[in-house]
Amino acid sequence: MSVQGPQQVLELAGVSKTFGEGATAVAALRDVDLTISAGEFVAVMGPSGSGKSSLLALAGGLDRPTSGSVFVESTPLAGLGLNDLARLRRRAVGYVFQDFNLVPTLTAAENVALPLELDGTASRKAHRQAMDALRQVGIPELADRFMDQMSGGQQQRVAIARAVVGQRRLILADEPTGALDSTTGQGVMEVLRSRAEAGAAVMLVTHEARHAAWADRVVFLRDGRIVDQAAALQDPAVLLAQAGL
Amino acid sequence: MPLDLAPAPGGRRGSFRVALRMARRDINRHKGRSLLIILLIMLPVAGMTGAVTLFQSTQKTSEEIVRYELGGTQARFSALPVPNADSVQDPLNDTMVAHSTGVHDADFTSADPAELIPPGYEVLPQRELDLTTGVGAATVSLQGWLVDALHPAFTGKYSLLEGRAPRSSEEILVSPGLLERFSLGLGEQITTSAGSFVPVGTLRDADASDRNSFIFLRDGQVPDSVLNQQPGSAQAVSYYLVGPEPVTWALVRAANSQGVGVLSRSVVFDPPSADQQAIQGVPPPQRGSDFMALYATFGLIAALALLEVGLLAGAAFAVGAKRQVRELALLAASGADSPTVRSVVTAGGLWLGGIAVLSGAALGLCSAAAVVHFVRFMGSPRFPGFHPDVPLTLVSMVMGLVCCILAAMAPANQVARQAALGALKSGRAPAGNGKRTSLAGAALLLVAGGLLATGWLLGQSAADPDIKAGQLPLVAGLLIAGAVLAVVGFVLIVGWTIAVLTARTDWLPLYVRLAARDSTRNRGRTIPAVAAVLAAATLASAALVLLASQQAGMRENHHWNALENQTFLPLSIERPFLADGSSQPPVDVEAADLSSALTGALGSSVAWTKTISAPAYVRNCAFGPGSDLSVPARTATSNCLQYSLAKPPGNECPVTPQGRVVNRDDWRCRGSLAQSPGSQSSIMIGDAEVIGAVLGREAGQEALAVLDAGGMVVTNPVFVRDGETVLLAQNVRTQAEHPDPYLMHKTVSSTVLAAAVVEPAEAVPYYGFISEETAQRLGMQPRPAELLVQLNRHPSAAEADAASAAVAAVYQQPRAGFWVEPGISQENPWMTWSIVAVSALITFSAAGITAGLSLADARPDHATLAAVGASPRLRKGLAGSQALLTSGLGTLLGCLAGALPAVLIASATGMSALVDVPWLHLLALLVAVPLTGAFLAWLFTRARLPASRRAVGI
Repeated sequence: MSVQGPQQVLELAGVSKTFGEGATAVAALRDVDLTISAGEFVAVMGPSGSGKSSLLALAGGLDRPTSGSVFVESTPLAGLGLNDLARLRRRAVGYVFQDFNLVPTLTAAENVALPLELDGTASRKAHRQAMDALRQVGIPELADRFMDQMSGGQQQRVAIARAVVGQRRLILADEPTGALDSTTGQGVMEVLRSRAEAGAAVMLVTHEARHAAWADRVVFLRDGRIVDQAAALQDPAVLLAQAGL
Repeated sequence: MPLDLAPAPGGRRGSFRVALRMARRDINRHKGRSLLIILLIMLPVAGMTGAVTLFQSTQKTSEEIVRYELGGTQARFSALPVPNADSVQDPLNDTMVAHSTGVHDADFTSADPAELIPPGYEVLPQRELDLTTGVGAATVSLQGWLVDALHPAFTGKYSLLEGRAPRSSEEILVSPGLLERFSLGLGEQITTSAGSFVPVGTLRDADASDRNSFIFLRDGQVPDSVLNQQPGSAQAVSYYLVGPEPVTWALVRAANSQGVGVLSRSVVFDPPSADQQAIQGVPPPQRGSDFMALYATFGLIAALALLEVGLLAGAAFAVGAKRQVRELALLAASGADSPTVRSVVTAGGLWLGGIAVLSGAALGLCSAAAVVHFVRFMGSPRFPGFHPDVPLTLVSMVMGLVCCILAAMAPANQVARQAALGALKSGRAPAGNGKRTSLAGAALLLVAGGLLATGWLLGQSAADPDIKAGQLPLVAGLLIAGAVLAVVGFVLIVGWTIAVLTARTDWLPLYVRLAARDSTRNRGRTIPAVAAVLAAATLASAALVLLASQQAGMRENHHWNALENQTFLPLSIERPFLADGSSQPPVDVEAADLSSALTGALGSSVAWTKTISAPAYVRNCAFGPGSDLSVPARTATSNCLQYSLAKPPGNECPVTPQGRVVNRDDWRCRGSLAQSPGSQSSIMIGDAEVIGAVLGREAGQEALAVLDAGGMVVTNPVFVRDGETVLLAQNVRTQAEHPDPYLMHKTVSSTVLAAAVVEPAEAVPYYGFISEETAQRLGMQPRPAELLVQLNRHPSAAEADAASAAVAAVYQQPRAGFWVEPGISQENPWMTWSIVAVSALITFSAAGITAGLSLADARPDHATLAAVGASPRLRKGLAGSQALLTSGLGTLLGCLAGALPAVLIASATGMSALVDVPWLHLLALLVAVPLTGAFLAWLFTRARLPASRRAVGI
């Protein structure tokens, strides 16, 4: 009887990303190798311009690397067309952003159900699954509210629910607490942590060491390179020093 | 295990459902912008639907033809003017010959319709009568109908509106218009040429306007003497058949072969096929070409209207898409592919377009229905009924919807092209450089220039007007194609032009600089607005040039009887011959009597009157076969001499063998009497004052000196050579064999006079003026001949009636008329300025939309400006500058794209001898309209800058 390790949900192998050409070329990422497994919560830290958001964009198929490979659920993204990448984001990847997380013209439940509906799931079934996701983040009662009827924290919970709805196991969060007060931000981190413990692979881009402290692993980026990786639950002051912040 | 990324069944449908939902909610959230787009699409759709419905409502249906023209009768038999027995009428119109060989048969005689009526019917005749009645001293015409109008079989055709049926031979029915025209009430007597009658009721003929002056008489009311005086009795009588048997198409054709037309109930309801209408040897008529032309015209107008609104709506959609861009990027991050992202914006177009076309069609139909019913209620037959045109209404709706979706698609494509990540990171859509579009525009402009040059050169290549006429379709085609391509080219380079114009803005005041840079950075919003103004200005400037040139041509070709709003009233008029063939002496009137009568009738409309003397007119001159030529041409009681000027050899207007004028700019073909003969009143006795009054130009000292020295002031240099002109006296009793068709009579004397030319303001039909002394010296027997009347404005029909009555009283001639030279400029200013006004309206709309959207779009920037202490006036200045840039650039490019090809078209196609560029109107379009637009934008923009807590850091 063989013992299987945790399944790799995201793998970046030798990934580089350069913007522009010639003298104006800017290398956002240089030869990055990174793997995140199911149930793992990885925080990415680094100063502004270190390549954190570029890493997130490549991981979710929003952008293509200049060189190297990206795998999501063992699927190489290099050969996928735009429509395949869109389907990948619908079925495998969930994004959470700092601001403007929700589509303002849709209710909370509709926002959560959005990837499912885009993928052809019947409205009623999508709504049921969205309600399950909202329950998982603890706000089923907000299902019919619009964005402007919710607080920032509530909006981020809805965004997280949308990121995990359906079969998706990769959550990519870009400064999800940036626009929130510390108490509310703490709540969002708890939800992300719980999603990781429920089996999702979570990659969190953050400036704040106290949020990175929630992660299992912290990756440090500087000038587009991974300069260090730290174990979980370190002292925030140490993390900040390692991140160069 | 790799992910399954195959498309899910129903995925596209689900995506579209989401797009529709998001678009619907976005419309709800931005009601102002949505309402604007709805109105932009709705109004032209309503206009087109209303126009086409009104047009179709002017066409009678079969039911209406039968009801309004036949009432309850089976058929109507009446005379049909045909040239031979092989002629067939229109089955739905018994007065129109639809098919005929066209060959005139001298032996063919039409039958009396009464003779062809088949047996077994009750026959109701209706006879048309020409009657008269007196109004003051004048006699005016009336139309009478001898018909039993209240017979039950005429139900539907005739209806009693007011009053009652006549009970005695004195009582009649009349149309409401007759009572109004003669200020009569029911029960008041009217005297006509058929006798005196008392109207006791008003009757409506469903096929004629209530405003007509009709008298409805019955058998026995019109004396036989009056009936016998009516001309063409067989042609004036129609026979209505009452009975159960239908009149078949075979009977109709048989009647047609004898010159009788039949409107048959059964034929109208069941028209014959094309084969049944055909005549042997005559090709069948091309059916449907009229409808094709109607649909093509409708399509062209609709396309132009919708192009305008599409461009305007495009600007609104561009702003909407831009404000949605972050939302759309989030959608992309959630897994929406490009078509889905695009469909959110286009779904907005679908919703708004759907609402707009439905409401537009409903508004158009309801408005048309209201107009039709109001007009019918007022007694006009202009609209037989309310007839919606379903196909054309659907076409206008589809065009409106497509236009709205297309307007949404351009920004949708732009949004979908943007990388979702880029949008999420910056929150601002990067402006594309549009290099390929600009290159395509430049290429199109080159092609357009080539086409315009080729068309113009080809138009100028042939000097022969006959060849020119043959080349006209090709020349016009090349020039129009060039003009269209030029407009498209200009639209495509608008983005580049804006970039170039706004590249160096450092020296401009702050708000102008901000507006310029905003326009460059937000070309998605600016380009459609500029393009909308451009398209409007193109059409307006082209229309202005073509209209002005056409009017210049009309002015050239117009036959001026006098200067505008002038009339000449003779001081002596002939009277008709007596019954025994002997002539009566003419009626001589005093100029003062005519003048005071006219002033009494027209009041202050009369500017002045002036008595004009002339050589003796032809009078008591017995001419024609058998006239005694031994009698002198002029005696104490008669005159057979008429004066004219000779054209020196070589001064004739050159024409082609086909009779076309070779060159209309040739001085020999222009001016007074250059191409038409004069009359007996073409030479006048005049001094400086008379010349000024008749010609509208002052005679100079040199001309007056020639006049005083016994010479002549001539209106056209074609009659002058070496400072002299030749005055001819012709005997109108004789026929000349002269190559000049205008010299019809033999010349009995010719006198060489010194001449000076004073060309009139318009080509009035006068040779010129001599002094009274010269006329006496030449034995021309000068005498007061006419009263020249100058009015301040063209008289209305009622004023003309009043003047006719006044003149008739002086002349003691009931049928003396009063006709005033209308000129050609009665509607000119109204038309040209209304073109400018429509263009201005579109420009204001486009500029207003752009400025408004820009202000809304830049609200956060304005908050920042407010935070750093910008003056409240900045916002107003920004709006004004934005509007000025949009409208100024649009009108400049539009005037170039419109006026230049129009000048080429007008000159190359020979549309006018003079290409007239209406500089004042174009200047108004180029300068006044943009400045007004900028001022309005400045005026209606709220001055207060928005302040947000974030921006000011509270």
